Amino acid sequence: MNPNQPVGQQPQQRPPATAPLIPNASVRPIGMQGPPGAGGFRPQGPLVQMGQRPQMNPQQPAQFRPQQPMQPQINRNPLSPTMQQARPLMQNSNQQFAPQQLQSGPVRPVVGAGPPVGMTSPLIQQQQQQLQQQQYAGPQSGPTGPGGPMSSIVSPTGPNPIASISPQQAGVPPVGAAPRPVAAGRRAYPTAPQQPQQQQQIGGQPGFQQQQMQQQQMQQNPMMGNPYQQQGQAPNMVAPMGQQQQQQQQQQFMQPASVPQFGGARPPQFGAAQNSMQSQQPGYATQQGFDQPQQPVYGAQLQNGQPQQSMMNQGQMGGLQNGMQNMNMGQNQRNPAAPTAVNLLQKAPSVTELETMTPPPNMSAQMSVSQSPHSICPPVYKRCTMNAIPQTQAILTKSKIPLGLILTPYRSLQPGEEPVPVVNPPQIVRCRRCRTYINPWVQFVEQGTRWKCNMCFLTNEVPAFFDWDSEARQQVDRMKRPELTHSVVEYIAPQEYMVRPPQPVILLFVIDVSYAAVQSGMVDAVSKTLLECLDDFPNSDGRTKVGFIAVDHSLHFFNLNSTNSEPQMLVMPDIEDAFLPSPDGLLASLTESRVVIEKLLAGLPGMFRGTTSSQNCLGRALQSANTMIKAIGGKIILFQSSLPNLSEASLKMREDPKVLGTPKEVSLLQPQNAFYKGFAVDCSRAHVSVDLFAFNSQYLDLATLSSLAKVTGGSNYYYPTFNPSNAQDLAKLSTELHNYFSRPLALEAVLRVRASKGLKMSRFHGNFFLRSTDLLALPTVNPDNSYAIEMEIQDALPSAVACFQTALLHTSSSGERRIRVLTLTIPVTDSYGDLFTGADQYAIATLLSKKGVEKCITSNLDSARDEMISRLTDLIGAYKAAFTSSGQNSMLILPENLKLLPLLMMSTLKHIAFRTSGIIPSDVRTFAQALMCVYPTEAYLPSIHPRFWAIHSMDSSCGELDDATGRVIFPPVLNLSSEKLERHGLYLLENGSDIFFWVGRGIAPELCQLVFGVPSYDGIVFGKNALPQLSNDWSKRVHNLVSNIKQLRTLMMTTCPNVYIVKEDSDPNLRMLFLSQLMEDKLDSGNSYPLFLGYVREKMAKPASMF
Amino acid sequence: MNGEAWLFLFAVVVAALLLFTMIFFIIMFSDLECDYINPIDLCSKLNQFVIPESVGHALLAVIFLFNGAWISLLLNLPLIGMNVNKIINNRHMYDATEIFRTLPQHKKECFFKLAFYLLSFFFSNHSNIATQVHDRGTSCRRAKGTASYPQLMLPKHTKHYGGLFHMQEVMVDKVEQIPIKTPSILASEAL
Repeated sequence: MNPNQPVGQQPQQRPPATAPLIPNASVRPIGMQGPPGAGGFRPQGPLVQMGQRPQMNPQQPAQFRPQQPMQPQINRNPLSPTMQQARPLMQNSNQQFAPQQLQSGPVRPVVGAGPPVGMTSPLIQQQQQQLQQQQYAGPQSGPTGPGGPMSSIVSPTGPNPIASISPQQAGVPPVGAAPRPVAAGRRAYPTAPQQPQQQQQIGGQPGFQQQQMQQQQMQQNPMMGNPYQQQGQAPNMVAPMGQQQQQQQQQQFMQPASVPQFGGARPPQFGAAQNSMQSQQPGYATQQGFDQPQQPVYGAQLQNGQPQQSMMNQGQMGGLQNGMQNMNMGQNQRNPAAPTAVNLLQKAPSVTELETMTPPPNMSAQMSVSQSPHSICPPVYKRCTMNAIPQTQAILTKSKIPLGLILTPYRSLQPGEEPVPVVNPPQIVRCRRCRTYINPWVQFVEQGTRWKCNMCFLTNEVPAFFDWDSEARQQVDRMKRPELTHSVVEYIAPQEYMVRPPQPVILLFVIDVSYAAVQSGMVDAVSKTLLECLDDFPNSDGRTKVGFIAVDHSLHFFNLNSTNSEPQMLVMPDIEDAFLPSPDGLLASLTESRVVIEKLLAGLPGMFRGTTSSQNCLGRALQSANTMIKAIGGKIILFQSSLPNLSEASLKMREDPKVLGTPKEVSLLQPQNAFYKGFAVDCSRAHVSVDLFAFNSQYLDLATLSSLAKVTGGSNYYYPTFNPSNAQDLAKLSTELHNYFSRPLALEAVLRVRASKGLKMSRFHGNFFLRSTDLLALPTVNPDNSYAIEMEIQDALPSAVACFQTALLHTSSSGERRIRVLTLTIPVTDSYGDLFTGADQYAIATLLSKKGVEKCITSNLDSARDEMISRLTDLIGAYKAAFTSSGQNSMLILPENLKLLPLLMMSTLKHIAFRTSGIIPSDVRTFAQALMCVYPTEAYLPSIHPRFWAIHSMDSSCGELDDATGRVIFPPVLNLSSEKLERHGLYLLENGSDIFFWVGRGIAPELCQLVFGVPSYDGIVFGKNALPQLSNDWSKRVHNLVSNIKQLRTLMMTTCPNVYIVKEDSDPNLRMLFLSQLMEDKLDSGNSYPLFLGYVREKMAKPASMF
Repeated sequence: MNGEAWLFLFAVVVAALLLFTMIFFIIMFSDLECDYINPIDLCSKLNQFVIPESVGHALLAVIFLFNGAWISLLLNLPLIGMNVNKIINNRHMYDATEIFRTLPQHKKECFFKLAFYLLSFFFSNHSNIATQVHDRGTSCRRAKGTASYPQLMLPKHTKHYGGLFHMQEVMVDKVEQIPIKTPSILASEAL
């Protein structure tokens, strides 16, 4: 082997007997070091000589090698070629292995056309073909389709097309299309995917081709490819055409100056894909050493052959590219070529990007041990604010980017999403020391007999069942195990993960039946809706138990024993000394006592119709409820409509309109009574969670009551102006309750977050009880809730990849103990360029808003607002300090991938949760803040920055289902500015909790007729009204849009938005409500977007002037 | 032993108790960090001691006040103020839901209090001894035991003038009797 090999890489070769198991296969021995392509095809081009490679693969007949003129290099560096050079990845790995994709695919002759053996999808063939066409520009190029003649000639097919073509083409992702061959006996596992692969350079290419290759490789760069897109959309939807276009686009911002350098002028050792950075850094070449042709050098980053990058805009690509250059430069040298900067003041923010919320890509799926595209954690489950983690706290502090995770571990699946794979292994494989679960990012070492933990680097035994199915008595391919292919998996937990048998689902309803509640129609509506929802109750194992307590000045229990024919009401007037009036029957099995329960729900409104009690002893009711179910745990569902005013838990009416909008307002946002929090802590201990449904028009002190849900992992639902006579209100309640009961429910859960050595969780945000420094107790897991975790870097991160693993141990509603494991890996960097180009503005905004809520409650509203602004200005300042010269001082610039951050922060400040205004009732604000605390990024964005469409000008496809994606097509999103409002327009705006139709005064009568069913503008009724269902195409399409939004929001946050019709000259309050959603406009004290930017710039200028 | 000596003896005992309470708090906090105890148990345990600790400290201050030990009182006033402020704002109890967020702050506070109680322990101890020495200063025999503190003795004379009136008078008498003797006796014995 190469004597210059990096220390710590053991170049031992395995005995040949173990290696090639398939005739003609290019299985490379484990531990062999060298270019992956060497094992497979080696081009017989003019010069490819990879010294030692050939003899390692004696089986590989030379004539099967593709006549490829050049062999590009492969670099498996997650971040960039240059970073690798600075810090070899996984220095402490013992062995260096080639990725299996590149080593173990059966090789098929390239020229001799044969039927595809494997299951190569036409798409991959197509891509390969396309790649080859581009390479062999000229003679071979021609229009070929997937089934065209060329495909059989040019593209070799096999189970592993990537291996069989050329390393360069290995960039094409195997996305499920390239099954791994099952080998008998020991196989070569891709044990160290992070290892830099040795590079071979083939020179002699004309510059143009080189350039083209660079384009391709740039495109396939792991940082640039967008791994997330693989999740949602099948790769085979990508037309080759799109790729070509993309490449052409990329060419536009490649730096052509650097290209000619490679065209053969350089020694062959250089990677064809080295980009322009080389020309700027001659030192690199010598450092890499021409005399070390096989050293892992930067070069083509082929791992992530992400074919589709349409969502990535060019600027971002450019930014990444520049970021890499910057990495070379190191921190000391200020790099003029910083991440592409966007001058914020130049143009209106491009809100269309908010629709996709694409985070910057981080890792290539090809770097995972299984190279499965699912090894990338989908951002909807887990999202980090930075997709390149700084190596040390110093860099992090200086960059001013908050480091945090947004987790939504148990989220409800949207239609079309794949369910989380469930595995039931005989034994759950975890690291002995740090208890990390095995995941796609571990490495296999010692011939695959041991695995190396990617958190603490301890090597652990690989259990036998990974390779041998003892029941079926046959070999199994470990790389097909979901825990090695998916970053999100669910284990069925064995006995040792239970302290007691899995608990049944218990739902205990505590319903306010005081005068106010009955009068508001809440009791009636809730009883009716619950009766309808009984079938939705989670009861898959038939063990679900249900109980009811009605509360006014006394407690009303209901004996629901199935032996009774009628429910029996037990009244407990002595609340000071409350006890449970019946030993059993208060909690009844839903299956057995169904009839009694139905009778109770049907009769409940009637029982209390004539009540005169204006008192409510919620505190006692909660204590009794807890006593009832604390032995088992479960859920207390609280329907409250009046302020509790009896017992120690009574709350004072403290709302004072004079205080609103003043610094004292914060006192209204803090709990007034310690009872509820203390009670919630007790509940949390007994695995009881509380969900609050608040119906009121009066003050209800949500600030105090919401702590019940906050501590117990529950949720709050708020119906501020609930009116049972309004069909929309009833429909909203019904839709939400249906979804509330039918969504997945997890019980007695704990959530632990592990991170690579050196990282420390510092703060947690969300609804949970923090039981230990990294353990969240969640009596029930609400799928809507997300959890935000802030982190610090305690010690410099030792490895090149940081890993975050979240494990959620829970009991599913079907009575199974399960562990859901989410693993996210992020490359580590020490360059500011990478930090900034890898920052995820959406996650940052989400995290900052959660911090803002906390700050608001502990300090006050103004300091929360100030802090958010200062975090923004600090970030911009840090960026400018790192990448701009003094001449740009007056400009307000941010990298392309952060350019929307100011808009998001401004919108957050204008959100009800943070807006400075004297007219927001404290209940409304508290509720908004409580939601802000639990919003996942996907729900947070529309709530702060509503989506806004012009309906009158939408084209005829909008509102129809898109056949390709199965989704409703929406018109293009508009900027939230009243400039967009035309006199004759009809607009739709959606903010997650409400849907507004804005009708311009000059709306065309035809449109009125089509959508509203009235002949003119004057006939339209404004207010909280549903649109009429009309039998014309327009009306249908508009209804499609509305129902799509409702469905989305119901699934995402269990919120069914109300529809408001707002006319240009309607009720001023309604009008203001709509206009306050237009975030780019000036609102009360909130600045318009340009003014806000000006303010930010001023703030930034101040500290600068001090120096 | 006169009243003031008793006072400082009592102060020593109270300071020692408070000192141990703080050590207990700190141990419990580090237990929490190591996950030996869960926050709910921790808070319910510690909260039992919060009020007694504040009351104990306040009691000490009140005794200082009645005895006119102004310097001791002054030294204790800031902590009293802090405790009162916390109790008024209802922030004195440990909150299990916030404990991890506020843990560094609590620990800092506990260490500060620990140091304060330690100092006040020594200060009270010293004052106690000083008072006793001073008290017995008229007799050479008795003064022997404390003779190793000559340098501490001297300023104490002045300090004890701040005592209650009847004490003051007594002391004034004594001081008039001893002024020349005491230093010389002590100095000689120290040598």
